[in-house]
Amino acid sequence: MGPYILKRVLWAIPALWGLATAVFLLSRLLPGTFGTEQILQREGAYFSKGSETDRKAAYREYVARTGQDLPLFYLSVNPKSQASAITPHLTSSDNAQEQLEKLSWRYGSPAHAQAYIARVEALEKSFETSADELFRAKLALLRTNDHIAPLQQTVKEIIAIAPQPQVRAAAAKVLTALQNLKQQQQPLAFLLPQWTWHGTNNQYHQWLLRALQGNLGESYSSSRSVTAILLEAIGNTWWLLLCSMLVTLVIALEGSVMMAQKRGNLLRKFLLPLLFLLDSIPPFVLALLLLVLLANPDFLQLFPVYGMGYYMPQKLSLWQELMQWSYYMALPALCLVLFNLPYLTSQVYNAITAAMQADYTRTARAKGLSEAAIVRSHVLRNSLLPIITILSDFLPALVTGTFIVETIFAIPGIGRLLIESVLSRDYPVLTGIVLVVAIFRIASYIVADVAYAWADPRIKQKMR
Amino acid sequence: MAMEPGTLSPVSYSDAGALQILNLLFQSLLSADLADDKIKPYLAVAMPQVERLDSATLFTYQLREEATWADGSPVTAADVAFTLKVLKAPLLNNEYLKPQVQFIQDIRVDTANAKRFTFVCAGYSPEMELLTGDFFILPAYLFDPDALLQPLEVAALSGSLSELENNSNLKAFAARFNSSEYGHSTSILQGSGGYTLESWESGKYLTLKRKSDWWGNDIPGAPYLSANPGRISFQVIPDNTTALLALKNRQLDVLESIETSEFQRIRQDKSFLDDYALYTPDTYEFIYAGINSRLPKFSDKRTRQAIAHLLDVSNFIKVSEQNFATPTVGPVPPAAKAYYNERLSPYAYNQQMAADLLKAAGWQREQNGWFQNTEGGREQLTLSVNYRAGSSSYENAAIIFQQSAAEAGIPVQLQAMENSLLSQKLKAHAYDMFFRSLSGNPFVLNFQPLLHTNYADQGGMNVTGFGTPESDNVLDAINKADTPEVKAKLLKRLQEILHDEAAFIALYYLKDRIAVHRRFGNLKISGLKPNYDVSAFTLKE
Repeated sequence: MGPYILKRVLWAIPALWGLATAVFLLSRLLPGTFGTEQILQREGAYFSKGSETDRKAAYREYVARTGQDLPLFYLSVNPKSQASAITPHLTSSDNAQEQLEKLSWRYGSPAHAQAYIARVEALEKSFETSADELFRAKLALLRTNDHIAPLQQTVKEIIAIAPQPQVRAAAAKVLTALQNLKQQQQPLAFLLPQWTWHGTNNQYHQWLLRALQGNLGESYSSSRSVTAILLEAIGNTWWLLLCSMLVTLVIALEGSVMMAQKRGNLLRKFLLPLLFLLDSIPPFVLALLLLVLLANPDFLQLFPVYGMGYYMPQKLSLWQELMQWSYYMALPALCLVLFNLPYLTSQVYNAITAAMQADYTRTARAKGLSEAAIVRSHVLRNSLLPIITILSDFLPALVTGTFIVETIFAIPGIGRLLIESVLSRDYPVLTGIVLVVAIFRIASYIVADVAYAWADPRIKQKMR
Repeated sequence: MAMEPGTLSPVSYSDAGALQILNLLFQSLLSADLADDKIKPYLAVAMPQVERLDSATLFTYQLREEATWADGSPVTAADVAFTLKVLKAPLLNNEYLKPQVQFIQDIRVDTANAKRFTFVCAGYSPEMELLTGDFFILPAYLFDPDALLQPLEVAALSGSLSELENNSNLKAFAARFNSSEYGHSTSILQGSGGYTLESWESGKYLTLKRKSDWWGNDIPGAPYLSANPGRISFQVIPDNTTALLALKNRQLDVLESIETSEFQRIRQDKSFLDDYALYTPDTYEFIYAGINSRLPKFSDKRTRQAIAHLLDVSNFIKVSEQNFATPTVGPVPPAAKAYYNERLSPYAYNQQMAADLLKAAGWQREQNGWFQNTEGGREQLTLSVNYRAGSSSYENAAIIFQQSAAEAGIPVQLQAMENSLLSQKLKAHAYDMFFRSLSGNPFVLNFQPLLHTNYADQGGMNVTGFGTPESDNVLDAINKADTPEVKAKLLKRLQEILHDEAAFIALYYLKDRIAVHRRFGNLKISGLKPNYDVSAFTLKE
C-alpha cells in the first residue's frame, strides 16, 4: 500500500507542473492586463486626468515594476518579420511601434525598419525649431506610412525644398535607410518561424521558482500575498462546505438504506419524485427561492439574509461565536445540501438496489438475517465503491467553493474570488487558485484509491 | 456596496467604493460638497490663488490652521510636498494617480508660513485648478517615519527618472510602501478626515469610527466639513436581490444603485415607505452610441443621421431604465442648465425621415435592403453593433435598435463582448457602431480628448472619428474661455455640431436610485458619486 501511494504522489508532480504551466501561459493570453484596465483605460470620464503620453509612461513603469515586461517563457516563436519578440498584449500602441510592426511585416526586415525609424526621429530633431505646416504634414506621413515608394517620394521632396543643410543631410540618411530596407527586403519572411531564447530571465521561470518555495506571488489588485488571500477565502467556506457535505452524505445514505428496504416503499414513492423535481431546479433559482421564502419579512423571516455575522465591538465567547455562525450559515448550508442531495441519493440508491439483487444478499437472507442487518453489514459495504468515486469528485469542492451560494449569501469564498480575479486580470490570484484546486483534486484521487482498498480487499491485493 | 475595494491605499485605489471610504479617512485640498455639487476648500482655507505666467501657472494654497493628523500634529505644507513625492516618484505603486499630477512640476513652500505653499504647473488648462486639489494629502510622519523621502526634491521628479531608480532611500521606501500594509492596515490608514478605520473583515464588512474630537467640527464658514455618525459600517453584498432583501429586513440603512424594476416595486410598498425614503438624483453618467465615421459606408453624415433617427431613445429609457433617465441632445448634462443647448431636440424615432436621409445619401432601397454602388462594386448597408456583455441596459437598447433597423430594412448584427475586448476593438477602430456609457462631473466640461481630431488616431480616445475644423476650434476655445457666458455659447455650438454630425450620439443621462432610512436627515443627495454624504447624516428627532 505504502509504495503504491508513493508512486501515485510522484506521478502527481509532473501532472501538477503541467497543469500549472498551462494555466500560467493560457491566462496571459487573455486580452488586456490589470494595468491596462486601471491605468490606460480611464476613458470613463469626459475630461482628461493626465495626458495619454503620461498615462502610457505610467503604464510602462507599472509593467516594469511588476516584472510584466519580461518575456513570458524561456522560448518564443515569432514570424521572422515580427519586430517585437515581447509578449503580445504588453505593446502599448505607440505610433512608432505600430509603424515598425507594419514595415517589418511588409518588408520582412525588422532591423532595417528600426534603422529607418531612428533616422526619421533624427530628421525631426534636425529641424531645431519646430517644423512649419508644410514639413509637419510630410513628417507625419513619414511616421505613419508603411509603403516604401511614397516614403521615398516624400523624403526626396523634403530634400528638394528644405532650406537648412542639416535637414537635408538628415533626410539623405533617411533615404539611405529606405534604400537598405528595399534592398534587404524578404517579403515572405512572415512565413518563417524565428525562435528566440530568453534564458532564465522570464516571467514563468521566476513564478515557478517562487511557487516551489511556497510563494505564489502578490495580487495585482490588493498587493496582498496570494497565499494569505487563498487561505482566508478557503477558511470562510471550508466548514460550511464540510458540514453540508457530511449532512448530505448522511441523508443520502440513510435515505437510500430506508428506501431499499421493503417497508421503505412508501418513502420511495414520495422521495424519489421529490428529489427529481429538486434536481431540475437551477441552483441559483433554488438559492433565491430559499432566500425569498425564509429570510423575507413579507413571508417568513427565520434566517438572516446575508453575510457571516455582524460587527461586534466586544469579543464573543467560542460558544456564542459558534451559535452565531450556525445561525448565519444555516440557509447557505441548506442550499448546498439541496443542490447535492438528489444526485448523491440516486447514485447511492442505485448502488444499493444493485447489491440487493446480488447472490451474497440472497445467501444472507437464506441464513435468516433480518432485513436491516443484511442492508447494513452486507449490502452497504459492497455498494460503497461507486459512492467513493462520487465523493472523491465532491472533495475538491471544499476549496473551489460554490460561486452561486457565495454570491447570493455574500460569503467571500474562493468561487467569487476566482470570478473576480479573472474579470480584473489578477493573474497571480488566478494561477494560485487553479494550483490549489489541482493539488486538492489529485489528493482526493489518492484518498479515493486508499478508500477503495479499504472498502474492497480485492483491490488491495492488486495494488501490491 | 456590491464590490469590496481591492485596496484602500490613498494613491492606488481604483474603485468608487474605495474612494467613498477614503474620503472619510483622508482629505484633499478641494472637494465637492454634495449639498450643492460645488467644489469647496476642504483641507485648504480657500480656493487657490491662480497666477498665470507665460508657460506656467501658479496655484497658491493655504492649509487650515486647525487641521491636524490623527496623532494631533498639524497638517503642513511639508506633508503636501511629501504627498507629491509619493505620487510622482518611480518604483512606487502610484501609477494610477501619477498621470493626473504629472503637470505639477514643483512645490514652493512658504518659508515664513508652514501652512502656505505654491504649486508650479506646466501650461494651463481649465481642469488644473480642480486637479491640484484632487488628491489625498498623506501624513509624512506615518507613511515615512524614517524620513526617507526627505532628501528628494519634487522638481527632480519630472522628466527622466532613470537615475532615481537606483536611489537607495527610494528603494527602501518603495519596499515598504508597496506592501499590502499601506492599503489595508488600520494603523497606517489614518488621515486628517473625521474617521478612522476600525476594522476590515475581508469580503464581509468595513467599519469606520468617528475620531473623538476631530478638528473639523464647528469650523466657522465650513459646515460641509462633517463627521456626524459615530460609526459607519459598509457591508459587502455582491448580489442585488440579497441586498434588497437585507434592506427590507431593515438590516441596512442605505442602499444605492437599486435595480430599476425592484425600485418600481418598492415604490408601491407602503410599509417599506414608512421606514425608507427613496431618491432618484440625476447622475453625470450617460449612455451614448458611437458610429465609426471612418468607414466609407458611414462617411456621409446623412447616413449617420438616418441611423440616429432609428434609435428609439424613449423606448430605450422605458424598457431598460424604467424611465429613470433623462434624454439628452449631447454630452452636456441637461442638469447643467447654463451649458445645455435647449434649442436642440434629440433625434426623434422616425422611420420615414431615416429612409429619406438614406436616399439622400445615395442609398437605394431594394427588395432586401439598402444598396450603394461604390468603387469596389455594390455595397449593402449593414451594421454590427457592439456593447458590453452582461449589462441589460445595452442589451435592451441594442435589441430595440435591431428591431427598428430591421423595419427600415437595415440588417443589424448584435455582438456583446467583454469590456476590455470592447475597448481594444474600439481603439483599433474595428467596429461599425457601439453603445457605451461615460461619466463626468459638473465642474469641468473639457471634451477635447473625446472629440478633438488630435485624439482620433488609433489608440486615442476619439474612437468615432468625429471632428470638423470648426469643432476643433470650438473645443480649443472652450478651454480658453474666460467667462461662463463665452463658454456657454461655445458649448452650445459644440452640441449643435455633434448633433448634426451624428457620429457621437448621446442618448440619455441616468438617474441613480437610492433608499435611505427615514431616521436620517441632512443626506446631501446628489448626482455625484457616492450620491449621498454619509458623514453629514444626522438623526432626526
